[in-house]
Amino acid sequence: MVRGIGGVNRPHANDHKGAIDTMMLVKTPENISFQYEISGPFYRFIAYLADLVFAFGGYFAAIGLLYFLLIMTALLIGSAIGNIPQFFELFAGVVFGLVLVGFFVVYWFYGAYMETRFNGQTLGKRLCGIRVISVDGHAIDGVQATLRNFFRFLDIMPIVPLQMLFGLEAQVLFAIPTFLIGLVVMSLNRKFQRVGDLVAGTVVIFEEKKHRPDLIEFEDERVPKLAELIPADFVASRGLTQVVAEFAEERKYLAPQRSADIAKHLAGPLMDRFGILGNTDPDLFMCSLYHRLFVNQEGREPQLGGGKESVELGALISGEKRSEQ
Amino acid sequence: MKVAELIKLRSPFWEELEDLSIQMGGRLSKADPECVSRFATLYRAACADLALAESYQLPPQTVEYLHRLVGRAHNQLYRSQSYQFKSWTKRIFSDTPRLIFNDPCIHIATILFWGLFLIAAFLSYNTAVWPGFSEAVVGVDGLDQLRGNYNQFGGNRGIGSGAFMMGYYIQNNATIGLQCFVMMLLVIPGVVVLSYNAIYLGAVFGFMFRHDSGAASENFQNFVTAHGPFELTAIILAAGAGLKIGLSWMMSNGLNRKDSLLKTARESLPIVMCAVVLFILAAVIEGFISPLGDFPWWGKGAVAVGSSCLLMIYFVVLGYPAAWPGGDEDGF
Repeated sequence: MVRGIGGVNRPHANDHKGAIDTMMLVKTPENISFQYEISGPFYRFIAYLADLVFAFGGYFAAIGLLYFLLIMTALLIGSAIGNIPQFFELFAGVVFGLVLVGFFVVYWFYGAYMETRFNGQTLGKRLCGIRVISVDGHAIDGVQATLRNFFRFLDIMPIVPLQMLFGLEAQVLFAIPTFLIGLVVMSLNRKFQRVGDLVAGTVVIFEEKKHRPDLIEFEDERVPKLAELIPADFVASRGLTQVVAEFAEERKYLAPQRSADIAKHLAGPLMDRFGILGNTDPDLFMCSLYHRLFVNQEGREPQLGGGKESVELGALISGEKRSEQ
Repeated sequence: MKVAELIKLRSPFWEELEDLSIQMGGRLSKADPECVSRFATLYRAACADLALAESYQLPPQTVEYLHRLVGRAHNQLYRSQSYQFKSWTKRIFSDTPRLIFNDPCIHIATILFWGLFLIAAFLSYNTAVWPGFSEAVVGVDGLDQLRGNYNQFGGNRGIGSGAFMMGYYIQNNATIGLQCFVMMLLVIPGVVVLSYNAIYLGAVFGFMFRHDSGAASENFQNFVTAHGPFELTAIILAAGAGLKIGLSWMMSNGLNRKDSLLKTARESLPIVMCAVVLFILAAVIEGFISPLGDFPWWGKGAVAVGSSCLLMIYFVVLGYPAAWPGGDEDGF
């Protein structure tokens, strides 16, 4: 594959990665591209359940409080006037009116308010480490937050009444939302957008903290020794460096035999070139190559990062070496 | 420089940025200015590190970490705008009425609703054309119940029950309106909901206006007059706004379907919010004025005329397109 020398932005490579790994590429005003990991239905469902608990828990707590206050004031003021029932009737109407309005407001506007106020996060989303952002990577605004929460009504469809399932003769109509439309629509697009997300132009992404990985230190004493055998003037190409790093990071998940199998294809020719004995463990060789490239770099030439020119020079040198191979 | 040294050199800055991201998770406006400035500097540095990650030959896991770090910091730096109430005046009193006045989808919804309503009302009123129409729509039990309800109408409700009914009407009617709006995305379900409401209401009106309904007829007229204009307009607005979104992705007018949907949804939201406000106004009238039995009918008529006038002023006077600056359609 032909690659531009010194090219930092490789849109094709990134797009490709995005296609496999549910990553989303965002270009910032600083002209930097970075990736977000898109959240799938599972975490979002948990966040939604948590939100239901928070929103309606708060709602019912408020109702309880109101009801308590209602009874207390009715007793106090009603007994002062000498007519408790009449006073109770007056205020009960107000309280239960508020309860109904409150249900309407919580049901339709809780998510919209929270997502606007807290930068794309409701309480449940914060708990799950996910956040809503615009498809272009910006923060969402009030219009988007409201739209995506309104259209949840379509996402939870079809709503199946309990009577239908069990043949109950219930007076109150209990119904179970199946979320099928939302699930199907999410699975049909790359960014896991439900109907509300498509209408509002939003995406839900992961935002949990990730620990900074340290460079890998090998306990095997032979690793630094073997690394010394690698010639000082050896400069690895970008591709090689990346392959070595990925191998070193992934090898702890592999059985020794398997990792040796993978390593030998690259380690074999390199060991030949460096004049290292062929019966050396290829896995061990790859580890020492990692050690040499990342941890203890003996090379004398001004390695990358010392300035733009040296970066390009380094790339050129490695490019030539690669073509020689 | 060795990669290990580079990472060692940069890590403190990355960690500081991470700590600041967490600190500023609450509110940026409340944060210390120096802190914000430091945060921005660190963010730019992290961006630069990420951009040069390949040149630095950082290992993939560190690059992934940087992506996350920059992403988190980006979300803290570019935050959602809170509601900007200043721009709302223009939006409420100038943009939205113009949008509503000129919108073909609202016209379609109006014609559909009123057409079906009037036809259903006529069929229900005139028993000769389609005998049993109102019974077929509302059901015999439903009609009996209706008549029964309005026979005993006239008691003077207190403020308490008025407030309760107001809450009930807001919850019930505005929910139906919003559901109709949302269902309109797929057009057919929304049209079914709108038509059902139009035909049902039409049948009830036709039935209650029949002379054989007796006292119930009079009470019914007394009850529905005051809040009618707001409530029926609100249903039409909600349905029209939804229809706009539903048609936008079918007829995208040269835009990409997704973009057309996004653009239209953004335009439609003020209309549906207007509908919600009308539902609330209607509920206030329906809760407090409509049930008053001893309130003279002309008084309720005056409320209806007054609210119709307000709607006219809002939609026609404020919405008339000649007042557009420049006169073209760049308002959309």
